[in-house]
Amino acid sequence: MSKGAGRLFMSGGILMLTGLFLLPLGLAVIGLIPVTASIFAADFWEFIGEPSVRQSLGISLVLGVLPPLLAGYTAFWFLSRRSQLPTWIAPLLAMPHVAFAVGMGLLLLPGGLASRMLPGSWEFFQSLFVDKSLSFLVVVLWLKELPFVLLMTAVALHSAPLKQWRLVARTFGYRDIDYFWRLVFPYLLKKLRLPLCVVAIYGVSVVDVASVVGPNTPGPLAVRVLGWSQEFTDLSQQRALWGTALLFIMGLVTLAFVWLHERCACLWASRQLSQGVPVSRRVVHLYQEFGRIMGTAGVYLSILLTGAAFFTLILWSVIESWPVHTMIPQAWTWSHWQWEWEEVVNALMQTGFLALGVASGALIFVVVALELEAKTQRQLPDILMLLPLIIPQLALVFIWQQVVGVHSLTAPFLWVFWAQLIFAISYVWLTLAATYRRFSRIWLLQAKVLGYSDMQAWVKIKLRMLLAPLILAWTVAFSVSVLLYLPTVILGAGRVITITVEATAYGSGFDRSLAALYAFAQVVLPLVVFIGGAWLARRFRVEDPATGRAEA
Amino acid sequence: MFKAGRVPLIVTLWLVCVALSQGEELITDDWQVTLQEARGQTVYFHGWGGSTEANRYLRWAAQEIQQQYGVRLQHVRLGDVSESVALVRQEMVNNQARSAVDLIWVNGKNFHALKDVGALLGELSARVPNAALLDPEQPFTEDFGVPTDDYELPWGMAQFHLWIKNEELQEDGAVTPRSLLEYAQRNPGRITYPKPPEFHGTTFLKQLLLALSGDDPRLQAPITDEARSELFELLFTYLDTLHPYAWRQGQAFPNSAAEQQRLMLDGRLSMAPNFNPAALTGLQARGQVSNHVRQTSFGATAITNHHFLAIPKASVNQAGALVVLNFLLSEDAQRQKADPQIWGDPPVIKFSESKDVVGMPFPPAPEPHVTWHDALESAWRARYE
Amino acid sequence: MSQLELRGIRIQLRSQSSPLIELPELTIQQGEIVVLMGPSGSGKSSLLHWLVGDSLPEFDCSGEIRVGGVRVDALPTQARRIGLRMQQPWLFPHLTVRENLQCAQRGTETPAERARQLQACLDAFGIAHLSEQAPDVMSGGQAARVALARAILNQPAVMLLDEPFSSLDTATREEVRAWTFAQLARQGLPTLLVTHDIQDIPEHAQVIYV
Repeated sequence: MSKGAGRLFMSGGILMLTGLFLLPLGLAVIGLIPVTASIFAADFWEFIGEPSVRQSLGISLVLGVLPPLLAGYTAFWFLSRRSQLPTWIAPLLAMPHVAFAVGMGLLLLPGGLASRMLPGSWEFFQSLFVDKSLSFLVVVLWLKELPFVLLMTAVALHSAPLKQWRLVARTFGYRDIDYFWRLVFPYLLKKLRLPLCVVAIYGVSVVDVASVVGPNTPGPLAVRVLGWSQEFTDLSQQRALWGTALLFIMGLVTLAFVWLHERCACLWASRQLSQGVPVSRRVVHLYQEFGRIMGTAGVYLSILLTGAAFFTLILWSVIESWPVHTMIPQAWTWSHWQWEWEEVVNALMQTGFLALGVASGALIFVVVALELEAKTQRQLPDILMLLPLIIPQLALVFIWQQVVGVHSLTAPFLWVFWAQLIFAISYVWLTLAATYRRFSRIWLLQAKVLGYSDMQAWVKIKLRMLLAPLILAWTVAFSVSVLLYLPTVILGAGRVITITVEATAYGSGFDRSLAALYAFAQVVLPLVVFIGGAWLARRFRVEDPATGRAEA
Repeated sequence: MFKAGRVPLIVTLWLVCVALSQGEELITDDWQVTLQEARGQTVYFHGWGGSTEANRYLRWAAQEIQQQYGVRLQHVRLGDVSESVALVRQEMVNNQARSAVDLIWVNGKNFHALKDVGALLGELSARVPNAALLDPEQPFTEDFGVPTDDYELPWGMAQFHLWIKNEELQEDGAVTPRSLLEYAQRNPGRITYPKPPEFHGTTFLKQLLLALSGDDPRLQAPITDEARSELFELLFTYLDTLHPYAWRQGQAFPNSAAEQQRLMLDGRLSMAPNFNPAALTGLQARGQVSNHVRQTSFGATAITNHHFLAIPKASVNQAGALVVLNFLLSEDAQRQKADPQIWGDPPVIKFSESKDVVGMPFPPAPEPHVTWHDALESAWRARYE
Repeated sequence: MSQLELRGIRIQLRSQSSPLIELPELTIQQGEIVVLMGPSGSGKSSLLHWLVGDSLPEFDCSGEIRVGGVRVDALPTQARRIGLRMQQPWLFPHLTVRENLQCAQRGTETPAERARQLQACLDAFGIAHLSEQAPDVMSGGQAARVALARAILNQPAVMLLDEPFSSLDTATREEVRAWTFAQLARQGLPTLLVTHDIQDIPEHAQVIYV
């Protein structure tokens, strides 16, 4: 690349990074300052003092802490005994959280599929799964987040010279289990810090899943904030404001917790290392058994339940009537599909094109930002790039709406595209940045020594070697775009109707068949893209011999 | 954008056509102008999208409106219409001259929230010719106790009642608070109600208050401290007794009537509240609800109210919105809406021939005064949330 | 007539005041091999990277580089015609051996001519039997041969070797070393070899200690 082109790329890239991403986020943060400052008002402490508010805070804290820990440990246990993931983990990510929650409910709660099909099991299911309880909500979040954490763990494991480590550990006399928990575990925790933070923040800010299966006397903070913001009295608007500030603070608290847990665990591991004494046989045995059961059960439960939830959605969409206490539906019908076909196809088309643009845009954006990093030898702080996932979505979207204002009518598609882009960028960053940064620049030098131009070297060597992770990041961005609700509704001014908007509307209704039909239609696009992406990524996967790592 | 450039041309062409074919309709000049202006517009109609019947009805309406008036009706289906209400209020805060919403399906607190900030277009009955057809006997000048002041026009009527399972909650007449409690004590875990402030939930509380107090006239007047402490005592003593026998021991409640109806159909509850008395026939005909379900009032009378349509002042396609509103109040559209096979929503206009008109099945009770509404909600939440 | 001339070369870590390497004057003629000897961390590899035009942000480098009498230190890597064989073979993992060699052919010949050259190279370097293999299944010795073949097929005017044998085991190293020097002698390329292993020094080579 000539000097001029290089400079053009630099300035263009920086302009894009600031204009498209940093500026709107900065605006949002500035907009959040008065919100957060509202907690210094005297009556704020009265508000916090209310028992139901404190209880909501407690619930949100549990949701921010337990799911990441449960999912993390399940993934570690599972992968401590295997090096490979089942190949169909990636498509599990396609299942939207709500659809999964609805599916789990339709499946497991009394009156659901399982209790209908297994006669006499009603009481059993009733005692095991309690509708609208914190425990069921935690189980749902745990199993739903598991595939994501598993995937992230697998990526982190791929990037470590595990064979060499194990060899070294063995020569020191460690059993493999000791080696995993004392050497690999702290490494993994560090690598998984961001994904676990994302899971934690999701737990704190989740609204849809929590209102489907979560407790509601009171509900988690996020659900109540949404409720307050929709009540339009001065008092509830004030509460919504305080709640937003609290949500933000709760988010920071859970992040601190994830970090603290990591510190403690690493400290424990290094203690164990320096003592060098293997734990007693009995303890190891017990522990191994527990971990084996926990890891395997968690992962297969998650796979099984996602599959079953998916199946349940299809089933309900063709059921005409299914009286209680009968094992199989009484009547089947295609009429729901016939009625809705046109609407579904229209919504899918809009959604698909939008997601195509958003995913490609986000990928290009992130690649440009990472190239800027490589050029300037300076790393963008990850926390900055993940800011959209850390600020409560509702607050973010309303602040943007204020800024965009009337212009949302002139180009609704553009605004939705842009808002979705920002969230997609964060997810692409999360999945791609580590791998991309690890790419050795020696490959480019080698290509240039052989006479490749800068561009040729980049396209033919770097892009090609990183193709698999690029494809995976694209598929993640695609499904993020499909599943975003609030930014689409609010910035789209009702002009942009994606399948998720429709699915949310029908999900709020009484007609279970249509709710299932739209939920199914919502899963279809991400599912196809994930399966296709996983297949392509497998085909284009390149092992980097310089590091002994698979770049995927 | 590119459409804007064509509008003058289309309008001119259309004016010529209209001028040539003028004649039949007996409408004012103003309305004629509105019709002309509306042609080619797309009306964004925001409303709750969870009712399959309403959605399909609007699909039919959209076709008719396109054919008759050349207006495109885009139904924006929402999980909760208060998302759009929040949007319009935000637009007011922003001083936005053009709203994203052209027409909105509201009542109760959502209407108040819009009226309060002056977001709505007024004098609707003067702007919409078919407003003349509205049934003068229906009390739709108030919406949850607040005067509508012509900022919204009624679209349909609703009456609060319960779905019950025949073989379970056997009732000859209406379900009373007493019979409900006794049933719950015999069958723990099969009674509940949607969590206030969901409006079915709040209405359940109001209905309960009416029944427990024997339609105390103070409920129709602004709330006083004395009336509050007296009547709430009745209400919360009752609920405190009921909750231990309720679903999930009163530790959790369904989030919506729809959710409770599903729970009932799954065999986990014996009753669910509903607001549309004509819906059950259609649902049973389609096999979606078992024939063992029947409907009954809760207490001797049933709270009766309306749901409304309103137009934001800043609506961009205002002419189109007026045309749509006018169509929805036409006899044709109201008849279609009242058909239990289609939606079964009771009409708000007087039909020219009153054959097979859906009436209200239960003796109507008016909404308690609006001040009770907020007091009930906050008292309930302070106690049980 | 190709030769490598270095004048006033000075390589210095930004954080330090004294240079790591100083070469006031060095000329390597055709057919000549010069060995740069020194412990690891002495800046030898950095020198080679700088010679091919790699950017080294943590170093200050200065001096004149001439290839065949033409000054190249302002030219981009691609135009310098300096070949570099690094410690690892860096065979592109997504390409077969044949494709790896193809990507080194930068001549303007006809496709037929290029194919002929490629085959000649495969034969000359004794790696024809590997041509359809993927790099990740080859032994270290095989990869080393392919890497050198690729570097030479690229027709550089000058060759730089950066510890090319260090990644091989002792038995293979001996064999590959002899083979490499034989190939270089056949090509007659002026060569600068960097190593810390005294065994790597060929006969009659000029040795510079840093």
